Amino acid sequence: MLEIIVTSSILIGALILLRRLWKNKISSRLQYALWLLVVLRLLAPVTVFPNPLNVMNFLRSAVAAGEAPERSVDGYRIFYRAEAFRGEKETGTDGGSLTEEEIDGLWARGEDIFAQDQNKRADSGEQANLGKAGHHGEPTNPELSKNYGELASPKGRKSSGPSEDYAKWANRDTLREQISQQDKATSGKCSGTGNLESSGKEDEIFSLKEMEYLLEGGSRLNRFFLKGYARYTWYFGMAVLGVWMLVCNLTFRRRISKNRIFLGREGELSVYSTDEITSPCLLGILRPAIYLTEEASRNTRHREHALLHELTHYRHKDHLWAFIRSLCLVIYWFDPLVWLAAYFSARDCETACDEGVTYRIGEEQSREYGCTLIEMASSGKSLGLLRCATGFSARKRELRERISRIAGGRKRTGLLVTALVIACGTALAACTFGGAGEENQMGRYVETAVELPLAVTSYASMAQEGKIIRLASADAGCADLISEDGGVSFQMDAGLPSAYTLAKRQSVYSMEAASQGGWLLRTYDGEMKCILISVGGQTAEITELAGNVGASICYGGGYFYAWREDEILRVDPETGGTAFLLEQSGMPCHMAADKERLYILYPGEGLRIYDLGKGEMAARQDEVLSEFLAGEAQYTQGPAGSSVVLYPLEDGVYALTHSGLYWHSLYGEEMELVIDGSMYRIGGGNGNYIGLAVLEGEERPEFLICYADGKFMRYAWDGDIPAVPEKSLRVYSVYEDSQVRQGVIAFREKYPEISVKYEVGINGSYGMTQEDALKNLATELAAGRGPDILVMDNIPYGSYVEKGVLMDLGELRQGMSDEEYFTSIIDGTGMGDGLYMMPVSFVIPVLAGAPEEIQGIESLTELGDLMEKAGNAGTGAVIGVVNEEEILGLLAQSSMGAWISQEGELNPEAIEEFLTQAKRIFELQKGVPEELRHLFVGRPQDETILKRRFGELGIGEITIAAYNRFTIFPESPFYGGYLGGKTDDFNSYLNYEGSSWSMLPGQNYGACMPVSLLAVNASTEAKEESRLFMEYMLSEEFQKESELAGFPVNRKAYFGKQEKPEMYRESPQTIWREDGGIIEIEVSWPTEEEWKELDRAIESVKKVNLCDNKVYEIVISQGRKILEENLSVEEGMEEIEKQLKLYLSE
Amino acid sequence: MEKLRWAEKREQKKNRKPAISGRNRKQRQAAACFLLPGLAGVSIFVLIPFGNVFVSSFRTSLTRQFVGISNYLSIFRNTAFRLAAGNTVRFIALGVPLLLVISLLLALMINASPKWDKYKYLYLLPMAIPAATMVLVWRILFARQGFLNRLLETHVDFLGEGSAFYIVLGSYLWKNLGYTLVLWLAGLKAVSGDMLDAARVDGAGKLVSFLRVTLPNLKGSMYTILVVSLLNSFKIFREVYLVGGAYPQEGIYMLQHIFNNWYTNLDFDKMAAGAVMSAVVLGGISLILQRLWDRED
Repeated sequence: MLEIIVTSSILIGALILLRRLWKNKISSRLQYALWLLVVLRLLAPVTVFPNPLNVMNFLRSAVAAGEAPERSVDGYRIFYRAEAFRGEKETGTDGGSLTEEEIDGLWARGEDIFAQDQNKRADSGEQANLGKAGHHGEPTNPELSKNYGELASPKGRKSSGPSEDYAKWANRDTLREQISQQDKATSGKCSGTGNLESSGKEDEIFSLKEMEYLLEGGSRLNRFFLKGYARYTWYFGMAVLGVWMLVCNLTFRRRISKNRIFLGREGELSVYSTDEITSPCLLGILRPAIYLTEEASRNTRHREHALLHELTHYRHKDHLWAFIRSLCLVIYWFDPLVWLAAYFSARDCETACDEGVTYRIGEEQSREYGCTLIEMASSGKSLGLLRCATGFSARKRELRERISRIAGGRKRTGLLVTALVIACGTALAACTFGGAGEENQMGRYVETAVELPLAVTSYASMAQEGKIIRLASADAGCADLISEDGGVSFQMDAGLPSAYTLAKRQSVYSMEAASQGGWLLRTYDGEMKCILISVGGQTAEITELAGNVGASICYGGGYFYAWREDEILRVDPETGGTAFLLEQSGMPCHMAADKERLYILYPGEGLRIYDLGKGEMAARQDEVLSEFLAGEAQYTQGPAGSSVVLYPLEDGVYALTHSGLYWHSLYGEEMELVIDGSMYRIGGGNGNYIGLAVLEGEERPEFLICYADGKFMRYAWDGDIPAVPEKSLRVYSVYEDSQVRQGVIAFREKYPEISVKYEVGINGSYGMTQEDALKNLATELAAGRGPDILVMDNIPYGSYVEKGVLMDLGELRQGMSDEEYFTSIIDGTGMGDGLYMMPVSFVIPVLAGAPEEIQGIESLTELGDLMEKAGNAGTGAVIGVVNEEEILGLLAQSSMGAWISQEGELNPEAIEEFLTQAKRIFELQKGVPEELRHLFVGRPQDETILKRRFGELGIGEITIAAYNRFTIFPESPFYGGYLGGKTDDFNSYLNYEGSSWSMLPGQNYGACMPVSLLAVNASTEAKEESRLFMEYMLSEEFQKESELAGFPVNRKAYFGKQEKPEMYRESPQTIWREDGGIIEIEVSWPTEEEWKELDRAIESVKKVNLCDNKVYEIVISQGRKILEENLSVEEGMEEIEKQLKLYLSE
Repeated sequence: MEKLRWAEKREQKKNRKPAISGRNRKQRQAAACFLLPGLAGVSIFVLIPFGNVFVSSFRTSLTRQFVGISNYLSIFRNTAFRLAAGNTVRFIALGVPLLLVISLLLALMINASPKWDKYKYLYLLPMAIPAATMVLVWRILFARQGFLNRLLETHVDFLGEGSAFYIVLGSYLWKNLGYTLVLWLAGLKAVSGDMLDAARVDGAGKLVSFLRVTLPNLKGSMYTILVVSLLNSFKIFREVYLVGGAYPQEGIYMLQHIFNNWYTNLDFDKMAAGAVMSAVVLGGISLILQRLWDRED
């Protein structure tokens, strides 16, 4: 309401001003038409769209800045009402939604206000008279004081002083007593004083809204109208004016229609003559008619002109507009600007009409028309603004204006001016229409870690029954946890049946706990068995689920459900009885159930819903949910949690996925995002979930999530903090980067007041390519809304540095001393005029083999020679790789930096040399038998650029290479790979049987490969937070404790990792060779000597091996063609140059 | 005689009524009002952004510092841009006239024999085929192990050699032939039979009547078809991008490719300069064509 008044006032004011400005320049009709905007604004109170340009937004903040005067209220009124609320709450009548604390808060507030009032009166010398305290010095509400008067000042006016009276009724109990006494005393009487509780005034004065306002103590314009007074005055005025308008018009009508003489018809309109009016007019809304004066009807010329005038009014629909004008006045009777607008628009109405007439009759006749006007000018007053009729003649001043306009001839509104006017109108409308934007959104979820009594690496299953939450661990040595207060505290579960602990002694592959107790375990002792342990302790073996095949189990709605070999079974947790439900081929990655439905989820395919009540697949499947989950779900390895967790709740389901926690009501249209994954630990790559619990919260539900890495987090809604935190940071990488992910999670824990959002460019949208991700990033940067931290591993850093996108990190670097960091490696990424990136970790390419042979070899050609020598001497493999891609990747590890300079100059000789040597070395590998060529052993890698460059399964890493060499090529004298990350077994392999290792020779010998290059956006607004983040990622604190994908760049952290952990146990590694032999390797912690050797190698690293991604890809792909298809090196070079020519010349 | 005729023409031109006769100011106003929404839309989404681009072409990419015409100079020197522009021009210069001529000939042939009329719905079929399908067919035909190679018993990757240009050209022709054919046919049908008969009566042969009667009457359609074919020649980017990626074979590396790649590398300044250049050139061409048309009017 207030918004409408303010915006319409501004609109009207602006229009009146502008009207003045372009008075004689634009056509009257256009002028008149502009008033339409005002009508729209006044009469269309619905805000169809939020309008950020709305002036209210600016006003509001301006007002909020300047404190609105505090509304002075009676302290005791607040007391009274607070108690009333409390009473209503107790009796269960509509006590509103105030909590006990809030009611007490009101009391406190009332006390404050009362005390203030007392002080003020004491200052001004007045006696405190509680019964008279009112706001702004107005007389008190007589009712209240009458009832309270006794309570407040038992002796009437002259009270003995504030303290006694205050004490008397400031005590809540006595007040209550008084109130109830009063009630009893006055109940039954319905005089004006009546029952306190029900005397309307009290209720009206302090409604729930007002009490809330008092609680907040805020001051906003809108609240000014809280008091019903304003509203009722308005209604009253509206009624009065409305009635008056009605009466006026009806009597006028009556009067006229009495003695009218029918003259004829003009088109649709009837024309009458009457002597009741002073000037001709057009009357009537539904069936308008023209009424002429006696005089006009006699004089032909006057009649003609009058008719024309009224007809023009009719054509312009002015009779309707007049009605609408009156309506506006009735509604907005209190707004003087609206009256002004009505006046002006009435004038414009007439001038527009004149213009319309003159347009029709031409210039010559207009003069006559003007004369008619003057002749018929009535001396009487023009029709009031409330009249729903249009007049003809006017008062003197208006008349002058009208005549001058008529005489002035037709205004030719130039197109330009019209356009300008329309533009102004549009601008005004834009600023005043639409709804002012929502005030600052408040509230978001806060993530806190829950302390568990036992720090375990992971739990296998989580079950919830109301407030009871169980965490079951598959490890016999580790107790189960139970919480009975909704996850606030956890204790070790003492009430576990012994059968259960016994069963856990065996090797448990996977398990599921029932919310009311009971467990289903799959144990392995040579054979996979499935055991059910009921809450009472009885064991039952479920034979249907035995056997070494995949199975998926879930618990929900009172039963266990298991999928095995194309069948889904239901298992009763009490009896162990099984029931066959349905046939379903393909193992689901996750299942969930409640009493009505069973949800079966497949990655890529979607969700199937099975109706438990009917015993068949649900008649209607939920496509929206299915499609959404199909993209998010993945199979997980072993019992390592699930990539998606479903939690059915009544008529919908919560879905916990890597993009966040969603709520979906079944068969609905949308997935509603409850918690955004990218801002919390929920999001991200490999982290899987053990379980989700949903608890009732105050405003919104609370969530507990158990992660597969042992963390247990609570998500509670905090309505008092802003939805978008002030301090926030955006970290961006094109692909998921596990080091950065770990860093973000740890950073959030360390600095909880900074909200960090980790965005991954390739976000799983269908068909998204790296180029698309880069384009999106470019768009964001161009719009000035780029991320704060960028992980440059797959971003064309050359262009970015050139365009000044990245901030120079010189200052940060200066704070990094040589003792703390490997500064030469950090500096190695510098480009010409500054340092723009810093790596989080690095790996070094190494070559293993007999020490005397590999010593001193530095260049690629020498390596080639060495290989050739070995190849001629021995058999088959020389360097332990199986295919073309591997050899190229391996050699690139130490050479790629030489192919293209940082400035973008291609080095064709280097590439040619590379390809030649690669071919040469690979030729020597041809001795590898065919069947072994595509055989290798690897392990899943964390997401980093190393994985993307060298292979999913870690091919290229030295320990994998070592393993493969031992299994497949035991005679191979050499092997190579990169060393970094998990490094506690390098010595065991590399120094096995007298072998040794050194840096891998190559075109960029002595260089390391950096992993996760971090850069800061030069135009970031969160400079401080970005600096903190960079510092943290490279700090000892983070790097020492985390599992990095390379050696930490923080020197202290690197040495820290050399400390042997307490729990370290040496474990012999048995390797079965392809030819049947066995190698036993003692894996032991590296000795001092071995560490020193590594240190020496790392200290010798002074350069960084960085290569533009595109160049790398092209060289490797052409290299593959050369090696696979016997392309010659020259041809390959030609092709490379051709392909790169365009790229480099752009 | 000639002089007189010329003088007459001059007279006519002077007294010629304006294109939009100002019969009524009111009607012109109404016309303006009708045009206003469309004009507003075009301004907001096309003209004003282009103004922004024009301004940006004199500034650096993200830092927005004024650098004068250095962007223009750098794109002139940029070999990739010259290549792309050259390819585009080559493609248009070859493709559009070829298309027009071939489709005109076909239209004439079809017009002559009415029995082909019932197949006219098939003409538009090539245009309806989606780009991805085209690309698939290209791959099947022209890949190293593709159909054509099998036929010729070679191992040439046709799409990676200079022949790629002609493949793209061919597919452009094939795709748009039907469309332009239909447009020509419509134009041909509009040529009044009476005039042709009169010409025949006057003793004109087929060729002469074509050149002197049909062709002048087709000027209107020719203009439309020219513009449409020009636009469609840019649309061939879809297929080229799908088959060649961001860096296709040299001969088919077009303007859109270079803009695409510049975007990824944040070269917004070069893009702006390139866009302004292209707009100037294309605008210039259309103005010239318009003058030519007008003069022959």
